[in-house]
Amino acid sequence: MKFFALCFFIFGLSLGCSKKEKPSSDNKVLRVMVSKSFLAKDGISKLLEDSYYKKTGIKILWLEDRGIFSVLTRLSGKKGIVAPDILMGITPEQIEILKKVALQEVITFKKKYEPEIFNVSSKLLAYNYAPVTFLKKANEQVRVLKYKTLEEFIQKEDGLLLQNKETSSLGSLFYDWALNQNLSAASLEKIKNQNISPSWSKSYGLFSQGVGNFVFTDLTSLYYHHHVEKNHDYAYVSIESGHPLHVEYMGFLNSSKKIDLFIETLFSDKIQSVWLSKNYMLPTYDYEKKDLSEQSLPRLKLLPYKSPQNKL
Amino acid sequence: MIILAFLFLWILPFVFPFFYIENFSLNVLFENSEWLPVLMKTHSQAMMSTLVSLFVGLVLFCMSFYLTQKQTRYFLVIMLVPQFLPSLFIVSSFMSWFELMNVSISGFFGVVFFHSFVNAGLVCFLLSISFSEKIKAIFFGNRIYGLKDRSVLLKYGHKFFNKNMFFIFMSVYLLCFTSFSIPLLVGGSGFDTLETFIYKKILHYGRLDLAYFLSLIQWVQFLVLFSFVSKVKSEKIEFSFVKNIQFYPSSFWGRVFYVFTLGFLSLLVVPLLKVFNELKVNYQLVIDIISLTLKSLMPVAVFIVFNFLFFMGYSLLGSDSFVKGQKIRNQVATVLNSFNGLGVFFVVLPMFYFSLFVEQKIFSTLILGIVFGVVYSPILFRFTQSILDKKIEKWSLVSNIYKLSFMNRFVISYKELKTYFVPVIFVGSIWVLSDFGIASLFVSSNENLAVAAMSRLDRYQWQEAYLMMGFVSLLGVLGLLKIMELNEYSENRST
Repeated sequence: MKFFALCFFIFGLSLGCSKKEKPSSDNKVLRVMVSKSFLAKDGISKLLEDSYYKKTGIKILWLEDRGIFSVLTRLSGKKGIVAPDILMGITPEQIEILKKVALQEVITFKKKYEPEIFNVSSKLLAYNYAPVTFLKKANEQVRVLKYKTLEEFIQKEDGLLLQNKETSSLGSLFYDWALNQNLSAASLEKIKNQNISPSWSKSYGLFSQGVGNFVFTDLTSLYYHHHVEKNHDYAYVSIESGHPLHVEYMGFLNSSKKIDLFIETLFSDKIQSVWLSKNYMLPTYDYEKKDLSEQSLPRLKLLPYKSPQNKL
Repeated sequence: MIILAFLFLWILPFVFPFFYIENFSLNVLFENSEWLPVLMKTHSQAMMSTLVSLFVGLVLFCMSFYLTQKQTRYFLVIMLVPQFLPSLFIVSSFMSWFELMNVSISGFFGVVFFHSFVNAGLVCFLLSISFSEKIKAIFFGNRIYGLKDRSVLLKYGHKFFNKNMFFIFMSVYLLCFTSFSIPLLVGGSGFDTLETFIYKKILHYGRLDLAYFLSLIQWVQFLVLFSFVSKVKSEKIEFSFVKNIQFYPSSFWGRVFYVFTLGFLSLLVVPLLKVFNELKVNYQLVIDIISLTLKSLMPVAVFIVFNFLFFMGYSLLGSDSFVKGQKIRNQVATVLNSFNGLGVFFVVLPMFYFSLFVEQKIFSTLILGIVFGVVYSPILFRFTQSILDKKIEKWSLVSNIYKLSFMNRFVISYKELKTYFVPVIFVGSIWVLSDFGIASLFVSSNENLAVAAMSRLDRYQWQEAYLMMGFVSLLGVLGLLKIMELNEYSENRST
């Protein structure tokens, strides 16, 4: 009986404690929907949350993206659903899905914080980016592997670790890249036979375990290996015809003072200065000014950044 | 009251789609025919896994002929261990061996391999409890008439064993057919069973309507398959715990097979050495495991409270009248059993949907505990109903004669069911602690041990996943030993 009493006690205690957590009113909490990786323990979310709280006295409630169903239901506007105020981690490929969602215009902030190149919609604000490439484990002497075109790279190399275009934004980016480069039928057939994982984390996990030769990833993965792991035994692929950009946007479901303050906090020097070391993506804010070599990242030739065909 | 609430939770899946799923129509099944090959694959992996499990289980059973009585008891316990271990732990320990041998087993063969590893011991155990006495009688007859054991078994064995073998076959087939975690962990991107297909349809594509119908299809198939098992079981298959096995006492082969058994277990334990060697002293991981375990206790506590109320509620049903009580319990049991094996997502979907209405994490965890209760309680009930009914009948007759008050009936019921509760709830709690599939829909990897282990394994950090689930496995093994101890105690008491 004591055991069951203890279980009842834990249950009751948890419910009791939860009352303290309860936000006093809707104005005292800002709901932000983000991906799992954004909420990593040593990531940027904690710092952002603290800075925002200090500035406004408002708590950030992070809503984790648990798949497309949870995102769409939260954005459906149904009565009683806990909907986010801000949606982060949107990629241009997801614009089609967001068409039904009533996002707010953010033109003022776009003028202030977004370089013209990233402008895809008046309702989305870019906040971080990274060129994408392939990484390979190599010794310290080999830093770069050069190819003229994506076609040449695919024809010459084997053991590529890619992501599924339907379940991963990077996968979808690679798919678009391959289509726009007019790859030959043989190359497209070869791509089909490579190792395709449902997510970036899965393919990178395989790569870390020594499976495959090349992994498709953000160039900023190099930063992680160099600065966190202190490991320089990685080579990156440089393709002369150019690399696409992986850009993430945020959208706003309502307009209010607390959202404006969130944007200001996010683009503050304090947060932007540690963005790369905490979130492993480059901040879009100083895209034109930033010299990547300061971050020990190579400069790759970039493809012109295209707006998606579907506009919001 | 709790039973009514319980039944309400089961009615919820049937009414849920009509209110909350947009464009809810059966056409979705015809527009997306990709589920048909998946269904075929699910049955073919279940068939292959069952056949391999039966073959390996039979070999293990034959090996047990050479063991002494004491060795047999330990042998069977060790064979049952994989059933009590989280699949995350088993997969992560094998990843260590695969890494060592530089091989990778995934997809169809990976699923069959792991299903066979987990179920072969169960087959051996079921064979032991159903055949040992019969085989012993045959061997005894052979000694009298001077016949050869092997030829008699091959010629007439099927006459004795058909029903039991069918029961064992169907039980293992059902386990493999509804298995979720192993196909999700080792199936890879190219191989799906119906359960993992449904899970991915919800998570990656938001196809709630398709997921719902497929869960319904799975449930119907389960009921059909389960009806075969129930039919055979109702024809009174005899099971008896092994008392005097040791058909061919041989000290040499006995020792060899005994060492083999320990080797079987060491497949799971040896990676520990490698993990310690690689991770050195990782205090952060230890702190993470402790804090995640504490966080995971909340749904476990809710699950235990739910089960306690559920089983107590069931035992007190109509307890003021002996005959009426039996009748009500029979009716409720029929309803509960008919909902048994309900396609998991059939139940989880509405609860997952409602969790999006709550803001505080604590309520998501609370809902998770209730979902575990709704999903796992009928399974626990199915496995233990006959023991439970016997216990209830015993005390309810006495309490009716003395016309005891409700409170007294409650106290007596609790005291009588105490020895039953401990192992049942313990096993259920291990399931809850190691369930990452359902949990990942409700809580994040920062809030739950199994989800955290799954996310580590997802990134192929099997060492960390191994340690996390190793802790739960240790609890599972302790639980198994406790159950064996209780079993011995009750056997001695009844003697």
